[in-house]
Amino acid sequence: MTNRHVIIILLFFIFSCETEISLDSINNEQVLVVDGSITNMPGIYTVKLSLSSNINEPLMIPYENCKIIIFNNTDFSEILTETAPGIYNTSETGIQGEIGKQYKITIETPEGKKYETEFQTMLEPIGIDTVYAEIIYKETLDYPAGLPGYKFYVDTETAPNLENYYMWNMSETYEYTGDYTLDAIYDGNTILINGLDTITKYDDLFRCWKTQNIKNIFTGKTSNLSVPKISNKPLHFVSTKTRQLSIKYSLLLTQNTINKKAYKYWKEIENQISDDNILFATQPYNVIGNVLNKKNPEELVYGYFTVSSVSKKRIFLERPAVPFHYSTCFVQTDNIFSFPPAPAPYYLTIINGEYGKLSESCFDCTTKGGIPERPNFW
Amino acid sequence: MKIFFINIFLIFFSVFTSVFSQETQNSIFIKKQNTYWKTFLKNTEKTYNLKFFYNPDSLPDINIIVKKDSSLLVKILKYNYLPYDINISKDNLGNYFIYKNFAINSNIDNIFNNTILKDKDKVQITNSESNYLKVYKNFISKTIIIGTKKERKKNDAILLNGFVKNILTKAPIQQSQLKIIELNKSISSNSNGYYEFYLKPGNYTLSVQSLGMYDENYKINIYSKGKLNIFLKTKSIALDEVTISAIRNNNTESTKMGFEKITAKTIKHLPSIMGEPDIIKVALLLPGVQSIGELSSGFNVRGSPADQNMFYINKIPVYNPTHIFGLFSAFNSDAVSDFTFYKGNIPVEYGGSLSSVFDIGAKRGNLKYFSARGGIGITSSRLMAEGPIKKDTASYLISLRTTYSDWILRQIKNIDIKNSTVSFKDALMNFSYNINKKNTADVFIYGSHDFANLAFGLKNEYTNLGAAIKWAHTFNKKFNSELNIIKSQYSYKEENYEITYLSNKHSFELNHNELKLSFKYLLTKKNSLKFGINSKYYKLNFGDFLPLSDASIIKPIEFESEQAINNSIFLGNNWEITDKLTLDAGIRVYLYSYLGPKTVYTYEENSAFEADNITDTTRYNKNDLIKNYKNLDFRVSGKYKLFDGFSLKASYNKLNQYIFMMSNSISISSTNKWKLSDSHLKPMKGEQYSFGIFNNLFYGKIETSIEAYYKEIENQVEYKDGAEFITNQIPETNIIQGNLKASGIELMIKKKHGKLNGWVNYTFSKAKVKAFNTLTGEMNNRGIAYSANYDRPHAFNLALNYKATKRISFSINIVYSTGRPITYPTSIYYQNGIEIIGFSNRNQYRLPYYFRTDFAINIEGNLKKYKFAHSFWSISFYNLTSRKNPYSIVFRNENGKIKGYEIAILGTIIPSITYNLKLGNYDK
Repeated sequence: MTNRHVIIILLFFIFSCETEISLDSINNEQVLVVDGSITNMPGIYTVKLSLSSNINEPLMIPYENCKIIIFNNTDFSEILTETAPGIYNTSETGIQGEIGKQYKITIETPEGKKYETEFQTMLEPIGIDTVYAEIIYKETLDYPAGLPGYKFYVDTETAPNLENYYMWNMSETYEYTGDYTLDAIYDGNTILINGLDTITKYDDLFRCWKTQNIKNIFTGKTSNLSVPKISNKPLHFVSTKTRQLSIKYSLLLTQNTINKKAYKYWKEIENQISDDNILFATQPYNVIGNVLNKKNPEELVYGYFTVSSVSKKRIFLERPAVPFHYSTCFVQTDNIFSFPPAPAPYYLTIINGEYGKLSESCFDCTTKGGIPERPNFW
Repeated sequence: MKIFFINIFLIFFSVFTSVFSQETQNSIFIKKQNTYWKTFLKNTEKTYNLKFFYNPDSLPDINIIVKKDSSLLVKILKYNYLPYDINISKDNLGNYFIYKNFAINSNIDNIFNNTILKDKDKVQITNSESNYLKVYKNFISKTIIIGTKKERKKNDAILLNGFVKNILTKAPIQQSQLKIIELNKSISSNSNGYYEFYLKPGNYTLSVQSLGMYDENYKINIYSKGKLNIFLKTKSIALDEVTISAIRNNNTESTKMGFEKITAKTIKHLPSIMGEPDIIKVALLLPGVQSIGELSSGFNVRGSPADQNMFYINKIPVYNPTHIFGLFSAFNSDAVSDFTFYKGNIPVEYGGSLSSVFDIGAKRGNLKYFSARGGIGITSSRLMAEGPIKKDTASYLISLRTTYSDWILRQIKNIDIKNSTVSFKDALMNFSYNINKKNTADVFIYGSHDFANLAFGLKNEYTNLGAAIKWAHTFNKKFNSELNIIKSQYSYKEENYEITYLSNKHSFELNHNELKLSFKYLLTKKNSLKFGINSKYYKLNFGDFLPLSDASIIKPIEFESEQAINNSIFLGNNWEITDKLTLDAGIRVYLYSYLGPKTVYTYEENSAFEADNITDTTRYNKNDLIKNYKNLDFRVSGKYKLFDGFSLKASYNKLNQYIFMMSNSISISSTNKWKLSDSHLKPMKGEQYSFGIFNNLFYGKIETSIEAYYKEIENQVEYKDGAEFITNQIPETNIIQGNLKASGIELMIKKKHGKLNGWVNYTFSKAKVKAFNTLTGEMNNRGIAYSANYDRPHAFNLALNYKATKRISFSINIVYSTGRPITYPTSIYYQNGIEIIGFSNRNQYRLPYYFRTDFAINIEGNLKKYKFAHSFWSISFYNLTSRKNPYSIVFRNENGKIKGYEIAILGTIIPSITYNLKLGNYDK
């Protein structure tokens, strides 16, 4: 249950208003942040160490030259290698997550401070039954009739035990194109026409695929359900305000089966990052993870070393038959060669038989972060 | 009291020259004494049949000092009043004028009396009468001829008789004073209002006076035997004066500290939100009282959380005293006669709240005649009716209030708000029965209800219900008793249907049944005892957490109810040891028993109350004793009067509280459940030391005080970070019992009477909480002490009312306080690629200061004494300067950047207009 008080207060927005405030005066003390996990998937496992950054300049400040050791409870430990600043990896031939075993890490900083986690058991993974999406219309102030988009849901498999705790994270991949094709380039002297002249490198930049992690965490538990199966658990929402759904969309869902303590941590993180809920009616607090400075237990350390077992599922969605709301790029059709005065080259497209001038972002999909290579699962 | 404003105006307008009165023939001598001026004037008027005219607002609150026996009255008055630039005039008929900056020529040959009297036939006016007429204007039109000339028999004593009655109710008036001025002959009416005089034929002036009635004067011309029934009018402003005298000098004479009494009039005149006069909002203007912001029910007194206050309305405890999540208080101000607020030394008859008691007195119905009043505002209307069931014996009072605020919500663009419904209502009924001189009984019923259906999927309603029976019995002048049987219930229901498959409902119900028998016994005039027994039975039903429909997959969670009996006896003594020194002490002994049925968990020794640490489970059957707490409340306070109007006071309180509220949000919300102390959660204990200097300046016109306090609360209930109450079956797993330390200094200047009245105060305070259980290692904020949410070190309040004319008054509130503490996001870190916010220590930062000015104009309808109805308009401007006072700061992640937004609730000027109507004439 999230705290509904928040929205009750919304009612009083009748007489309320919001004013942006400056956060410049806030002092930040740099705090160690641990972000790592070991799963039942074969692999290289990664632990990232960083320092918290000032709120005005969100930045991952890598914490270099630390010594991290990962242990299992029976027979094995391995020192992680720093492969990039702040990123520490196990080796491919090193430790492997095994169900039923317990894992922990210890960290030693170059300043000699020592931190460690408790041993946590890797649980039996519970499978994903289905992942599906539904078109919903999300009412907002800007879209009183509703902004259409896909809302994702998950059904888990029925677990053998009554108490199960999950944390879901997602990654999305979508296909998109530029708004226009590049038909010609004016280089200051002549117009080079696509197909006739050699400007073909841009042909490859029309269609892209972009993969990114969804910056959201979802948690769930079965301990309050009569059957240990979670159904219709709402997850991420993708709106038609962006071009993500414009051609084809894929969601990869990772379901982490975790223990209760980890659930509590990720649940708190979920509460903290979920939309408006930050810091409103409930007392905000630092979500304290499982990394402890044993000599000085009062020291604040952020982050979690998660031991989980995972199940994954990917689904694909074609463009839905709903109105889209993303803006397309502007094409100048009048006085394209004289106004505004700008250095060549001019990028041109043909609209209604005439040249129109456009910027690179109109036809070069890589400007929006994607790569023009079809992923192997597509 | 004889205050004839009309006459005073008459005198002030007609006479401007400044000539002091001459010594007159009939000198009056007064004995040596030192008496409060009002008493002095009243006694002198009675004893010597003379009359004083004055405007009570312009005279200082002094004692009249007569140094020697047989002093001349005029000299006494001059001696006492001249230092204040107050003059005394006197005419030869025994009228004394006490006035400021004016002088009255009492010997002036009155111009307008003569002109008016021209028309009057056959009335012979003597010189002295002519002077008398100046002041008794209404006299002129009333020459009454008794009997006939035919029957006239010279020199025979003729019987004049009749009844004195109330003009409205026609009830006989006993003990009214009838006086034939010319003969200086006085009698009083008997219990039937009957009077008789034996007079010789002739012209006389008959003056009739009675307490609480306007005086009447008749010019009578008596020829032969006759009857004259006299009708007196109720004095419309009598009640105000009673109020004034009742609380006079309380400030420096009593041992009471941290105490305020506010009358309905004050509440009515101060500016309000949306035209709803609100007693809680008035309380927030008092020193030492703070709130989180506009949307918080209840308030914080001297650094304590809101659940350490207790609200009573006619002895009924009200567990949620607000409407609309805290925007209004749940008491209709029409039916409230006054409220008394104790924040320092809580009297012994109240037990069970550590911080303050807010005692609201509802009105008793009028025993004489029917009366009704009401108000129509922008969002709500109220109505109150009262009247006799049996005249002079039994009466009723009914008050109702309801809202129609939905139309405002419809104006909002936000879909969720537009389709939402919010409403409230409250009602109270008071039946009073004066059984006989020694016994009175009252039955009082109270209820309030709130309903909200919020379009995003939440339905919430909450209700307070209460009933109380009071029987007061007087054994004799020294000994009286009061029996109270009280029942109170607070409940809520909430349905959450935002997500169908998770839709759920839950509810809560708190039952409070109480029996209280208290006695007051006067050992001597200066030593009184209070004692009694008090038994409270609590039953809390935590409701079940249930799926709302078949579509919901929510697993029902059953909650056990809990019950406890809290028996106590109390004894208090107030002893005025000398004129200067008064002591007041009291003890209350509790036996609190927490009873089954209940499942009680045992935890590993020295480890946190967490489900994982449970080692054993014990099942208690119904009414099995689970845990007893025997505790003692102790309080002592003393006053030492250094000289008149200057006192020092000190007090010490050690109190216990057995019920608290489970709240995780900053403000109180209606879904907060209460919880009894049990075997794991110990009763909270509070200690408060306070010291005060009380000084009345300008002869009591201005009261000033400085109070300092230090308070410590043990077992203060604090909630673990991220605590969740709705589905947690084991409350102790949510709680850390910590401690709270608060201290402060409060300065108050108050002017109670006069054209300009009100108060101004400043408070410096501090409240820190530490939640760290050293045994189990549980802690909040990593064990570091933090400022309480409502800690506002500097607070300034001003509340003034200016009565521009008899019909128009202006009020202003100015409120300033330091912003409340807040936890700031201070850093960003990454988990799983997601940006996460790191926070400062709890409550390390502060919101900007709070400042608000409210303004109100009250326009009374005409002030005719006899009319069908009296109306008044009140026009209110809340937050005149439109300052956007931050209620909170929200932080949002916008395109990867954290931005902070101050949320201001009521951050704009809110004008409102309320039309109030009352049957009958203007009164308080």
